[in-house]
This record gives sequence, structure tokens and C-alpha cells, in this order.
Amino acid sequence: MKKLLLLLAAVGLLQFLSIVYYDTKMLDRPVPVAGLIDFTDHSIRFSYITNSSAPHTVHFLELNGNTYYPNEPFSMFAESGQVEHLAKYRYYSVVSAEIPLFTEEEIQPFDQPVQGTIHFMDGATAPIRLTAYSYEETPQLQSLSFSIGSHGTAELYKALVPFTVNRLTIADDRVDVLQFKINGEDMPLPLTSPLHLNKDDKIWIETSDGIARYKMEPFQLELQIAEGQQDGIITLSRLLNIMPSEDWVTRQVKESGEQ
Amino acid sequence: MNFHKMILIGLLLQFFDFWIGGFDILPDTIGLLLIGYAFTQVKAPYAKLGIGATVPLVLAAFAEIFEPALFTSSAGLLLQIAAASVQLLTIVQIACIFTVSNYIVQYEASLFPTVWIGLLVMMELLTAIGRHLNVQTYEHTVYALSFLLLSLYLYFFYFLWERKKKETALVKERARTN
Repeated sequence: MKKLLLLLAAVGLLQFLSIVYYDTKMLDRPVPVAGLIDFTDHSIRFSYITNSSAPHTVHFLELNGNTYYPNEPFSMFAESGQVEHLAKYRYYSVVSAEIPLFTEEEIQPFDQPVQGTIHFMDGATAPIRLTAYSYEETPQLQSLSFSIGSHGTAELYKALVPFTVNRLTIADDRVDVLQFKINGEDMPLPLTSPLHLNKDDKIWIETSDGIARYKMEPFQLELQIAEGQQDGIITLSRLLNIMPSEDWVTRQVKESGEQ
Repeated sequence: MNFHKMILIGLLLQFFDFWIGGFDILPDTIGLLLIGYAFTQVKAPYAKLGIGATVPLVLAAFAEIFEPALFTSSAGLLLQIAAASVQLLTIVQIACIFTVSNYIVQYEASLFPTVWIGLLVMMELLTAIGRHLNVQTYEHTVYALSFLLLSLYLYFFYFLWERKKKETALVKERARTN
């Protein structure tokens, strides 16, 4: 018994040190990551970094003086205030929240990012920068097949009209174009000369993947084209699929100054 | 009522919760009070330590009547320390139950107390260290160990039941001898 009591005293001391150390890692306020207002899906999606052991839960989002309440998974057995982890690590988790918009007119489309305020259940608040997103129709292209996964994204298109591609760019430094093929033939990137496409030509674009800062975060590929005498841009949307790593999450926390 | 019977009923009251209208009609406090009372009824080594370990557990269980799940690892710093203390005191209490039980049944050999206490200490060590390691590995290990502990907890009831029968037989034998 005496040996056991000594062992328990040692375990108790270890637990005390463990609890105190863990507590020093805890965030008083969540760290907002990123968000967007999806005008196609009629929803607001955003994420924040919080403590893994006792995550902050969103009460509502304040935007332009209006309040928006998050979607909670409905279940008779679900506890109120459940959070959906995008990634969960030792000390911190990335929580992805979604707020449905019930009417198209609820928020007017905008060009520049807007700032909202996330209000948490415990009274903490955090500013969040929201960008606008809407899916753009591509009358020049028809999607024939696509694949998506943690390896990257790939999609095969068919040209519906003749046009010339002047440039292919991705406005996101997390992702690179891996392959750009026309009718099965590899094209050098950046393009050395404009590419003329005829109707029914096949275009294959394969990209690498990048860290998704919230669930269903899109990135966009832009094809700068000339169609007849008109210049234009074809915007292709895809999703990022890589879960934020622990190092990435810890770096965000350090950069925020919360730790 | 003999020692083992009181301990057995006390542990069963702790094990089962019957919630009616948001209130546990079988609060752990009653079970713990019975365990504490059982320790006061025997003159055996470490019975007093058993009482000493049970008193704070009664107070903690009483506090949880008004604030369920008060002592969890996700609570504030002081409550986390209190939660860890509750777990360690529970191990001390169980060790005292085994020591007193061994004394009553005249040191009947059994490996179970060592295994049971060893696993409980391992669980505490895992909680202390594991939360600083990979979260998935930690959670899976905790689930696996919890399942093992639950199985052994059920065996603990059987163990006490057998000891209760033995204690009853010993008391009858002593009465006959006297």
C-alpha cells in the first residue's frame, strides 16, 4: 500500500504538471482563420482555431449589423453547440462552421472582402474577413469528367465554341497546375504562344492540392481567352482538400499573438 | 450487513444512474456514503485511509448533483486538478477496499486487485502524458483502455460478490466455533 501511495503521489505530480502545461497552451480567444460568403450555395462558411479540449462554439455571426446563426446538425441525441472539426490536434483544433442564407437577397454581392464578427457562446468575439464567391457559368466549356482528392484535382472539358487561350493562371499560391493538355498533348506553362481551340477539342487541367482553411474552400483557375474579337476570362472553380497540419495550425496561433 | 455487501451496493449505486426529470435519483453520493460507512464498521489496516479517501469523493459527488460533469478534463485549471485528484482518490479508495477485504477473508490469493489497480494507474498515466501526444492515437488508446476497464469493473462486482459469500461463511463459522 505504501508503494502504491508513493506511485500515486508521483502520478499526481505528473498529472499536475501536465494539466498546468496544457493550460498554458490554451487560447482565451479563438483565432479566426478565413471565411467566405457563397452566393451560389447561399451560405456563409468560415473557420477558427480553438482549444481541442474545450472548443469555443459559435453563437452567431454579426455582419453589417445583422446577425446570422450557424447550422447545427439536427439529431434528437445531438448536444446543442456541437462543433465540426476540420482538423483536431493535441492543443488546437480548426473548427469549420456554416451558416445558411435563406434568401438570395439576404446579403448583397460585393467585390472587396467584408469584415464580420464571430460571437462565441462564452462571450468571446473575433473579427473574420469574408470574401465573396459565386460559381461562374462557362458557356465555352462543357465538363466531361473530373476527379478530386488529396492528390489534387483533374477535370476534362470539351470546347463548345472555338476560342484562343492566352494564359492559364491560378490566383492562389497554395495550388499549382500540374498538367495542361489539349487533345492529349502536353502544353508548356506558362504558354509560349496563344493556343487556338476548335469546337469539340478536349482540355485536361490537373492541379496539385492545397490546405483548405474551411470546409469546401474553393480555388479558381483563370483562362484568359480571346473569343472572336472579344477578350474574356473563363473562371473554373475547384475545391481544396488538404487538412491543415498541426504545424500550420500552431503557426497561425503564434502569428495571431494569442500564444 | 457485511463489509463486502455494503461496498458492493455502494459501487452499484455509483455505477448506475437513473435520470428522472434531469435529476439522478440514485446519486453517487449515497453510494459513496455507504462505502464510507462500510469502512467505519471494520477494524482493519487502511480502513481509516479508506474513510479519508471517501470523504472528499462524497463532497465531489455532492457538488456534481448540482453541476453534472463538473470535474472533467475540459474544465478550468482548478477543476481539472480537482478531477485528477478525484481519480487518484478513487484508486486509493479501491486499494483500501482490497486491503480491508484481504484482511477480512484472511488474505485469499488473487491477482485481480493488482491487475485492476495497475490498469487504473495506467489510465491516469495515459491521461497525464497522452494528451500531449498525437490526438488520434491518444483517443483510440483511451477508448480501448476504457473498454477494458469497464469489463474489469463488471468483474469487480463479481469479485466482491464472491468475497461477500466468503465473509458470510467466515462469520457463520466463527459464530459456530464460539
